[in-house]
Amino acid sequence: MEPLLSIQQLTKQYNKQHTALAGISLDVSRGEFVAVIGPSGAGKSTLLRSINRLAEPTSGSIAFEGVRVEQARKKELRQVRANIGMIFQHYNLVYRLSVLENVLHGRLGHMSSFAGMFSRYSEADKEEAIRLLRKVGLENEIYKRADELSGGQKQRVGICRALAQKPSLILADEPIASLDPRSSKIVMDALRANCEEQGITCLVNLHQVDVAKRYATRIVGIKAGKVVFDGPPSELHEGYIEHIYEGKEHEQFSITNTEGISA
Amino acid sequence: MHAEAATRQRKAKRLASVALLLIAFLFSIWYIRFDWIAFVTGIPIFIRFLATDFFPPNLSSVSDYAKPVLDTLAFGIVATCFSALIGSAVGLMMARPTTPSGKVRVALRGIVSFLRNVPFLLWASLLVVLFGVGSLPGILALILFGSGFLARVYAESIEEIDPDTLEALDACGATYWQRLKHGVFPQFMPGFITWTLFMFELTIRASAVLGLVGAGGIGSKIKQTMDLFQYGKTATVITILIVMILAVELVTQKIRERLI
Repeated sequence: MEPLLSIQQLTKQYNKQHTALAGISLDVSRGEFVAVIGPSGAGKSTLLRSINRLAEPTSGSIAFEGVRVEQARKKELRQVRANIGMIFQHYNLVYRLSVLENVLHGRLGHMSSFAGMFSRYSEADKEEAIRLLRKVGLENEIYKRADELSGGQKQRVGICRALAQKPSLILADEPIASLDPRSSKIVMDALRANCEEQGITCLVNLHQVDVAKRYATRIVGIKAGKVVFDGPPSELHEGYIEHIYEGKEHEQFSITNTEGISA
Repeated sequence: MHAEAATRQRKAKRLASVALLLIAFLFSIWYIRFDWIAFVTGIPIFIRFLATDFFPPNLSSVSDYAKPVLDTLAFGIVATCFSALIGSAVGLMMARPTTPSGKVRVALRGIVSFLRNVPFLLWASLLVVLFGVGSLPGILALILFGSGFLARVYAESIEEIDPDTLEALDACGATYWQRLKHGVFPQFMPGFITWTLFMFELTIRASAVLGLVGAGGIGSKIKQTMDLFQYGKTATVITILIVMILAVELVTQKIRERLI
C-alpha cells in the first residue's frame, strides 16, 4: 500500500550557518502513531512544519495522499492543510472567542471562503464539535471564552479543533511541553484514543523519551537534522537514546520523575 | 584603571551637554530679544484681563450656543466614522500580518506618514481656501488627519496580535478572509474600540481651534466673540467646551468599559 506521507531527502536551510534539516527521508503509513524524539534544536519542529508548509522546505519532496506538497499551489495547499490537523505547544487558540468557535475553526478549510467568513457552519458541524468537546471532558466549557481555560483544557480544545477537520493526518508539535504531568497524560490519552478510533495517522514531536515509548507505535529519533533511529519502541535501547541526546542528556529526563505518565 | 577612565569620560560628556544646552538657551534669549520687563509686568495685566474682562461669564445668549455644540458633536461623529472606515482599510493593508504585499505596505506607510505629519490645522487652512468658510473644510481636515492617525495606530494594534494564533488558522486551511474574520478581528477589537473613541475625543478638542481658521463648530463662536471683544461670552463658550470635553471623555470611558 502506498504510504500516506512520503518524505524524501528533505532539507531546510535557514541561512548559511543554520541547517535545520539535513536530508530527511521518512515514509508514514496509515494508522501509525509516530513519535519524533530528539533534543531541542534537532529539527523536529521544522520537520513537522514543513509537512503542511508552515515552513518552506529548501529541497526534497513531500507527498501527502499523492499530492506533492512542496510544489502545491495556493488552492492545492489549502486542500492539503484542510486534511492535516495541527496541534501546537502553545495551543494557539483565539482566546477572545468561545471554546466552540475555536473548535469550529477546524471546519474553515472545508468551507467556501464566504461561508467560512460569516461563520455559516452547518448544524452537523456544530453537533460534531460539541460531541468532540464532550468526549474530551469539556462539556461545561463549551461556551466559555478560551482564555478562561487551564493549559490542559486549552490543549484539549486544540485537539478538538484538529479532529473537527476530519483529517487523515495530525501533526502535534510538542503538545505537552507546557503542561504538568497530570494534564500531559490526559492530553496524550485523548490524542491517542481519538486517532486510533478514527484511523487518523499521527506524528508527534516529543522530547520525553518515556512518553514516546509509552504511546507511540513507532519512534523516529532525530539529531542535527538527520534521522538516527527509526523503529518500534521496543528496539529503542539505551545506546540509541544516549546517542540521540549526546551532550543534551538532561532534556530527556525533564518529566521522568513524575508519577502521572511513567507509572 | 579602565573603570576610572570611563567614569571620567562620562562626567566630561555630561558637562559638555549641559554647557551646550546653556549656550543654546542664552543665544536664543538674545536672538529673539526676549523682553524680561514686558514678561514680568505682563503677568498682572493678564490676570486682570482674565478676572475683569472674562468674569463673570456672560450668559445672556447661552441658547445661541446649543447649535454650535450640536454641530461640533455631529462633525466629530461624522469625521470619526469616516476616519475609522478609511483607517481600517488602510491599516489592514499596512499591518505586517494582513498586508497583501510588502510593496503596498511601504507605499501606504509613506502616504500615511505624510497625512499624519502635516498638522491638521494646516489641512484646515488649506481646505478653507479650497472650499470657503464653513463646516466642510473642518470635517475634511479631521478626516484627512484622522484617517492617517487611525491607519497608523490600527496597524500597530494588528501587528501586536499573537502571530501563532493566525498560524493555527493557516494550518486549518483558512483563506485570507476567513483568517481576517476569525483570527484578526476578534483580537484587534479592543484596540479598534480604544483608538476610535480616542479619535472622537480628539475631534471634539480640535473643534476649538478649527473654528479659529473659519472651519465651523464651537470654535467659531470663540473667534466671533473675541473679535467683538465680548470676552464675557468667550468665557461662557470656553466653559461649555471644557464641559463638553469632560462629558465626552466620561462617556467614551463608559463605552470602553462596557465593550472591552
